[in-house]
Amino acid sequence: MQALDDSLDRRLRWILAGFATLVIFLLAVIIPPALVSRAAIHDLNRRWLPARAEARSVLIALVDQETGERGYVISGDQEFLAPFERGRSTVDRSLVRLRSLMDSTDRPLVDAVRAGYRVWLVQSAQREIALVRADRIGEARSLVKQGAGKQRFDRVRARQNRLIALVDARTHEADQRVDRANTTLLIAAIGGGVVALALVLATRRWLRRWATRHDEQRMLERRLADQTRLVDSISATTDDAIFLKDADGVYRFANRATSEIIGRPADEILGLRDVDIFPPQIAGPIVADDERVRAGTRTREFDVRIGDRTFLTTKTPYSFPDGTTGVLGIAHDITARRRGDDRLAAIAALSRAIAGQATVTEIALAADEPLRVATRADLVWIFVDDQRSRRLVSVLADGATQATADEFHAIPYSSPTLTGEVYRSGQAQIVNAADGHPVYGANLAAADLETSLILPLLVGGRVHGTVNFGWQAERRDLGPLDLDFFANLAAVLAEGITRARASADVRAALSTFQRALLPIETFPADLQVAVRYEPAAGELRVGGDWYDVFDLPNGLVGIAAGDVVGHGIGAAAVMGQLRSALRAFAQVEHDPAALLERLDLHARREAGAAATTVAFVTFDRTTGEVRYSCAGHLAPLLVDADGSARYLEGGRGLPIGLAHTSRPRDSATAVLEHDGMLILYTDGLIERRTSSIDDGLARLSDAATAHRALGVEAFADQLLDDLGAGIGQDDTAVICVRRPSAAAPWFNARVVADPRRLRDVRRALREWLDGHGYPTSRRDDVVIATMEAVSNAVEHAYGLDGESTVVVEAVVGDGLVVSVRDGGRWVNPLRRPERGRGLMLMQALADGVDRTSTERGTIVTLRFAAFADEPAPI
Amino acid sequence: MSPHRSDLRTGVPAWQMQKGRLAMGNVTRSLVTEAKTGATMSSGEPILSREDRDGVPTLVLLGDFDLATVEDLRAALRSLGTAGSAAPQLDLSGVTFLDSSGLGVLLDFQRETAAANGAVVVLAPSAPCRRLLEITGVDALFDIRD
Repeated sequence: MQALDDSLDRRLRWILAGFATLVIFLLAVIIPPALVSRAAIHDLNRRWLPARAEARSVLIALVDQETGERGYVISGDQEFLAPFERGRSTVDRSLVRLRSLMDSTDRPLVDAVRAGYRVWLVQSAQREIALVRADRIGEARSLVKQGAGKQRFDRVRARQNRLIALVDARTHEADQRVDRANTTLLIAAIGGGVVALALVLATRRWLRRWATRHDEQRMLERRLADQTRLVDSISATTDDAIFLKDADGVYRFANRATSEIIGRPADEILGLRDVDIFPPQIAGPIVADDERVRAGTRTREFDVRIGDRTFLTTKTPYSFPDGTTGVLGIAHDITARRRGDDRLAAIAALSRAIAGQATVTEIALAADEPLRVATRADLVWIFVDDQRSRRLVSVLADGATQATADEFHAIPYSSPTLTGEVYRSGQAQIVNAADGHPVYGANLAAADLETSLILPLLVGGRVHGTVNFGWQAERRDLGPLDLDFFANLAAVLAEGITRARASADVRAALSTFQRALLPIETFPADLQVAVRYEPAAGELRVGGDWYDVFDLPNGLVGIAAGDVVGHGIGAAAVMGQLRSALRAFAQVEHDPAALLERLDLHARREAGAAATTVAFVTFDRTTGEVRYSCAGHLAPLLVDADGSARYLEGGRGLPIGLAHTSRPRDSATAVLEHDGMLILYTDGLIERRTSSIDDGLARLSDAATAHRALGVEAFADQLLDDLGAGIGQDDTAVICVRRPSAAAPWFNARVVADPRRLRDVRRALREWLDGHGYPTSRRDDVVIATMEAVSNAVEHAYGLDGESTVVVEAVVGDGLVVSVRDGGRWVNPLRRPERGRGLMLMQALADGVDRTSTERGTIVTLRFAAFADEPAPI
Repeated sequence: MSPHRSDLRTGVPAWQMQKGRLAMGNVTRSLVTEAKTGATMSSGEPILSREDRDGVPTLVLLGDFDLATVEDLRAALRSLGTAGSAAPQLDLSGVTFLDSSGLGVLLDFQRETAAANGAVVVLAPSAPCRRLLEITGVDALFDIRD
């Protein structure tokens, strides 16, 4: 703007100067000829025109004088003398004047006229007049007649005529000079005018062009100014950081938002580079981004993290006037958006993590990591309510000290803690230690937390517990959006927990149901029996397969395995029916084939029972004879003491309950030796989509041979592991029955998880160890260590359920291996100090202690080294 | 010290355990508690009885002590009390089995009485009992007298 004004001023000055020059030029051109012209006119008018008149009046006066003189002389009349006299003064005066008008060069002529006139006047005229006056008229006339006077006068007149001619010539000259001067003036005027006009026209054109240009420029400048103002205003008010960096990465421009992000005034930023401003881990990527942008030609976008904020930075190469390339950048804060994305992802991650978990405890454990990641909390604590005890039970206390976790392991609904309050009110609470809450401040301080957020686990308006987050750093930054996020996390968790509880309720019911159908603690004590039941994969762990072992009259033992068509609870119900029927028929009908025929009749009347396959075996514990019959079922496997295995292929018949079963069933017999094993199973154990049944049978037989030296429990586990059961498309049931000899290397005791049954195990184990020649002190060590493991298992299982069993198995070989199995997972196995001491005892007394938890349960294995007089393995 | 020893020697030797137990019903010793299973008195059935030996309250433990009987043991010890000037005595010569839960109760009892009466006297612990005390390293806490 200023430059424009300067330019305008300069131009105006130029224009004024131009006009002045033009005027001077015109004056210079016109004035001289005008002056000349004026002088010439003046000369003509004031000199030569009067001179001409004087010259002529002189002549007239001369002529008048001469005429008067002659007239006087001739007539003597005085009257003629009047013109003469008048003429004398006239002539003199006129000649004087004429002389003064004439140039000096011309004056001699005037003088000559005067001289001639005087001569004439004195020698002729005055003499003659004087003669006349003296009455000497004759003389006068003779003189006249002589003509001397005439001659003299003629001379004067001639001179006068010459003078007149001269004056006329001079006048003419002057007149011509005037004409010339006027012509010159005219030419000068015209020429000057033309030049001036041309100049004016040219100037006008130039001015007009300049003005046009000027207007455009002004408009451009105004537009530029507007744009500049707009840009200034945008860059000052926008929350996006706008900045310009040169080729060296030095900031050349930084708007308000940039300065706020960087945390320094904008004028301080200018001249700095990113490496001067940010720590290396932030500056590094920024500099790399800038280099990419400068190297290319197009605009690029980058995610830039500064502190806990995320920016979408758009950078474009910027050409400076000096030819270098810098970077023009606009950074938009997308922290909230990114946080939103992150939060959706976090909620999804939590959902995924807990989706596959079946129990509340498993959900809590699985939720721990996602919750911690999502909230960056230092403490995550989950309480779920227990309606029976009216307490909130801790299912996860990650980040709490052991002492705190123990103290708040279970808190009453009415507890004055913040957790209790949140549970009762259903309202989330946030507490900062710094605020000095009268009730909870001390708790926070004790837990070394600055901020605690406790949310209710709400599903459908009902509170199921709380989830507590604690931060060691103060979190005053939690806004409504954050609380929504936390509430969403809590909702997902609550949903998972209630689902698990519902399914746990169902599972508990079904488990009771299934257990009722498949009792496992009533096996004959003189046999070693291991059973495995793996329902097809699915939510409900029930199925239609069954196994059974039970005492019959006359020292017989009944062993059965069956498979109802279908899966799930319907099949389980049918299975229960058939199993009960089979047990009942077995009391009166000892021949397997005859029993199955009865079952045929029964199955025809029971919906869903038709086509069930059953293998039934009676075993005579005195002779070892095995009688069996199979109704469409896979052949039982018999393993001898030496490990040779064979399938019992006889006694085959159709599945039970089929209407066209007309052919009588057969029973076949075999012998189960001491220390041999009989294995009944259902098709889930050997059938695989990818291989034939024969392959499965071969693998089962091989596995049985390979693992025959193990105790039945370990043996059953190995069978399942080797045959890959449990991944199952189909229900799987296995029952392994061993007939131990008196000197068998295996000990097996199965007890209900009840402390009052511990003594039975203890007694049996002592007897068995005594039987194997263990000295008393050695025996007591084994018993103490084993019983600690059993006590742990019983206490754990008893606390959980009160209905599960604990199996103690021991094998003498190279040393002694004792294993203690229960049906659960030990979530917190060593809560009480006594249990810790128990573990210590096991470790002190045994040469090796090992604990493994699988989905089948927990196995504690104690190894005792062989001693000198240890009985040799069989 | 010596009267205790003589008491012990003439008192309840391990081999007399069965006889002593059978005799309990008609002697003056106060039967504190007995396992609930009652009639079937097989080996290892725990019996707790209280005696005064030269004015010192003595609890005699017979049989197996495990998780099932730990609360009985605790109750018996509590009723033995900490009254009197002398430290209470525990006769462990007839213990055929003691596990960590029983030991825990003995340790609790020791902790409670130690301050008032000094170390609990343990008389002639049986082999499994002694083994347990030694392995767990708590034998030093008791005044063990053979």
